[in-house]
Amino acid sequence: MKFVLWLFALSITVAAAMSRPEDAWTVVIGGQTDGYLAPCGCVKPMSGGIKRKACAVHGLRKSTDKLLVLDNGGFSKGQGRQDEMKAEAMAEALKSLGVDAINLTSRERALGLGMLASLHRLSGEKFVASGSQPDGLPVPRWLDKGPFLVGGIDPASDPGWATAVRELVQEAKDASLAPIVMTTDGIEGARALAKAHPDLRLVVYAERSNPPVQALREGDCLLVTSGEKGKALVSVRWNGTRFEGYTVSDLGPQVGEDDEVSAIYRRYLDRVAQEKLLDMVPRTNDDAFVGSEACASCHTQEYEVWKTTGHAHAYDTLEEVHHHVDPDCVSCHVVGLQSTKGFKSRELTPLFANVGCESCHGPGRDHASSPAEHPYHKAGEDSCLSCHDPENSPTFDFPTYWDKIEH
Amino acid sequence: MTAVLFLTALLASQDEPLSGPLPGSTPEFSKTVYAAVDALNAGRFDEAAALANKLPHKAPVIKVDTTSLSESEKVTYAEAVDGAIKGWETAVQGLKFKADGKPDILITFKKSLPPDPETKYPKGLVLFTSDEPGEPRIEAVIATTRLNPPVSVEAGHIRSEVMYAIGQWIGLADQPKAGSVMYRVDTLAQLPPAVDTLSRRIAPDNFVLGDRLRQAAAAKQKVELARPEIWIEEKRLDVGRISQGDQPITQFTVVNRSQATLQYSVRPDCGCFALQYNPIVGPGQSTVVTVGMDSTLFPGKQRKKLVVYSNDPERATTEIEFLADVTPAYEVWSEDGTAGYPLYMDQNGGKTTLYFTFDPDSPFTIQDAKISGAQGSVEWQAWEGKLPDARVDSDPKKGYKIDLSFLPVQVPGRTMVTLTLVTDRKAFETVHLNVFIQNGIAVQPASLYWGQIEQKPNRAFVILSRPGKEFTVKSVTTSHKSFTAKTETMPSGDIKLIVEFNGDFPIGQIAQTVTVETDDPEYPKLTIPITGVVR
Repeated sequence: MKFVLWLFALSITVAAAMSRPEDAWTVVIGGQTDGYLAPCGCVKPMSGGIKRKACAVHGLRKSTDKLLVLDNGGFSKGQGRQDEMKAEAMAEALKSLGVDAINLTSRERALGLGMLASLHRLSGEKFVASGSQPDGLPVPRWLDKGPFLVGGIDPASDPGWATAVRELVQEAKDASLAPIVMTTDGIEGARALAKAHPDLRLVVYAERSNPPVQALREGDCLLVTSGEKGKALVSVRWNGTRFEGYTVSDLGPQVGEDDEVSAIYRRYLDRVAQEKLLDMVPRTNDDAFVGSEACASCHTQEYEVWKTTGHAHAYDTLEEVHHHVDPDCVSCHVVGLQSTKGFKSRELTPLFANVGCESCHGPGRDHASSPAEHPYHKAGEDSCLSCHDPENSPTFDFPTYWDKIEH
Repeated sequence: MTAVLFLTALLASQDEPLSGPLPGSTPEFSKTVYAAVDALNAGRFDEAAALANKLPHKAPVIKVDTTSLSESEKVTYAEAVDGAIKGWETAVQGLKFKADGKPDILITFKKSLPPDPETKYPKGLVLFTSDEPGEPRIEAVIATTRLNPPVSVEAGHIRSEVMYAIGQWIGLADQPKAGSVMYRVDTLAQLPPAVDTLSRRIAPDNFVLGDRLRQAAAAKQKVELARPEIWIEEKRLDVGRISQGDQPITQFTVVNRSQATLQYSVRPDCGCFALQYNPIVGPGQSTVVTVGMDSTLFPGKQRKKLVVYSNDPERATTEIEFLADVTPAYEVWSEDGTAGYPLYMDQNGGKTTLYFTFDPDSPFTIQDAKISGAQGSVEWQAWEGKLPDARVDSDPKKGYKIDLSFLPVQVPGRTMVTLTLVTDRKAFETVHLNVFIQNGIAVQPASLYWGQIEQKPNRAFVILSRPGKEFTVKSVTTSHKSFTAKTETMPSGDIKLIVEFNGDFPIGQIAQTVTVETDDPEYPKLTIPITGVVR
């Protein structure tokens, strides 16, 4: 029995070796990270992050030097200062993991010439723009590596995209290379591209969801997406004539974190702290808070229960990983970050650090000063959902979570 | 007295109907259970006993063959194996591994294993299952190197693989997500050292099944255990085009085509789902699983997955695809399509207009609006028509026209202002939008960040801009001789501030500045940080 199984394993090895041509390549696809640099959330394990992606790609690099790493752009969600810093960190991280080409999309262009130049430089000058060039910053139209010619387009904002794809395909044909296009379009756009240009071998498209279990194919062209927020490592294999071997690997905690990119991420957090971005969070209301200790005098039992829960240490957990400087994280770990009278820092407003009573029940100053005149309402499931949203708390279900904090 | 109690318990347990393997058990385990049951009910008790003896029991013998290991590997890996054994003994009450006797589980090592045909990685583990009485039920051959070129594994990898192998012997199926002891990869991954919740739930049940069948075989008793059969017709749920914020509800039907009780569970891959279902389906019955999805945080085309786990030995998992095309609940447009680009202010402040548009079939009512981050005012009115600049979008729209007015801002440069809208839509009670205003000269980006650079020449630039009011740079100086700066005026009137690094800087942090003097009396001096790390 054992011998039969060993023979079977051996035959698979031989068959695999015979079917694997000398010019087999692995292509890794990324993109649409939307500023998601590291898993954030109160549930373990969370997936994704640039540190794990770099570790995974370096791992692949150890097994083959025929590796092409592509990124379909979409570094940042917005144009604020923190978005800019995230984009710069992402560009650095992509350079560190050896990215070969990054699609220059309208999201990067919207950051302005100065920021775009910074991203291009920090990425190792890996942006490609097959359609219109950004003013003041020429970038390559496409990348020529191994048997591939790789271009990038943004059809929604660039009217010259169709011509660009035609030229890319022709150029590839002339040079006997396999053409690849990265596009910000969705699956329909990708399919239309593949139909219009049967010589295309791979189209990387954008989709706001998890990458599909199976890659789609249009003729000899494989259509793939990395999904959003970089939570999975998507790769395909080139066998010399077409792409196959589509693999999606969850970037969970089993992957490990790359040291160099971890240092890049730490530098990003240091920059966020240095520029005091937390101080610049817009304060959109004047709600008045008192802190959980003020509730304790009357609601003693509830306060004692609260002290034993994770909520009472929520800010501490941020400090442990240096995320207490990050506006993205802090709002769900303190009381009243959106209020002019809410959390500012542990030093200035120690009573508002951690998720307190008022995080769920609302501002309590009026009630604390005059409970009869200002009765307090019970908080329900809705008050949990503003922080325990699907992104940060994907396994949240009210009965289970309520069990842990019931009071 | 003890014997009486034991006999009573045994008889009582034998009176209880036997439940089949739980969802999450391996097909091999399930098949062995059903084969044993078939044999019992056919009166083939010796065969039933032999089959039942293949099922897990709480005093297994585990042997480790270290003959292929170096002396240091023997020590390291022995600790790892011990750790794996203790992990399982802690997770399952009464489980106690032994080292002497005919092995149920054999752990052996090889330097490397053949590659997986799918991933092409060298395998990290190969499992052999044997039905021969003289052989171990499971032999786990663990590779001591991974990847190509080979990298030696550490103790944690060995522990992970042994825990997985033990889990397979217990009859636990692979799990698709990290965090489970039954999730494994062929790379240099280390799994959590403790047995996860799901495995802790299924494992004791498998031991109980094994014990009950062995007891029945010894007592030459028949048992009742029918085979559930699950059928789900809908493999794809497509709710079509919906609006962001909608919470579509759809359903699929789970049918039990057998005479046994079907148990199943549904696990989605997104926390945006709310499921309602009865996890138990009686013989010949069907039940509806109601799937609700909250699209509030998910605009765009959505492709998600629901996995149905069942105790049908032939169909342990069924995947159902969930599709939705979620149109954004609202969109925000500027007059000239440059939303996000700064609104330039002068001594009179600044004004801008935004258009907040929505699907006429899902209208919003803006109940209040205010700005924070700058002094100013906001007015809004219902609006319908086409955007002023047809190049932005030429389709007719409906929504609100929002006029923002800003007082002169004291802070020079670019400032982010938040416009907060209070609406009548529950899912979007408050909507925050960012608008950028610029006072005087802005530096973009606000600091010149080098990242990690080497001690060799390098070059970078930032852009100084003041739209509509040109200015001249009178001088540029840097705080360190390793950096020199110069300016170039661009056709747009913006100024490119180019900083050259000559490479002669000590290894470590860069915390320098470049100072620009201008001819603008309001903004005569700009100080721009230069940051990074030299390695």
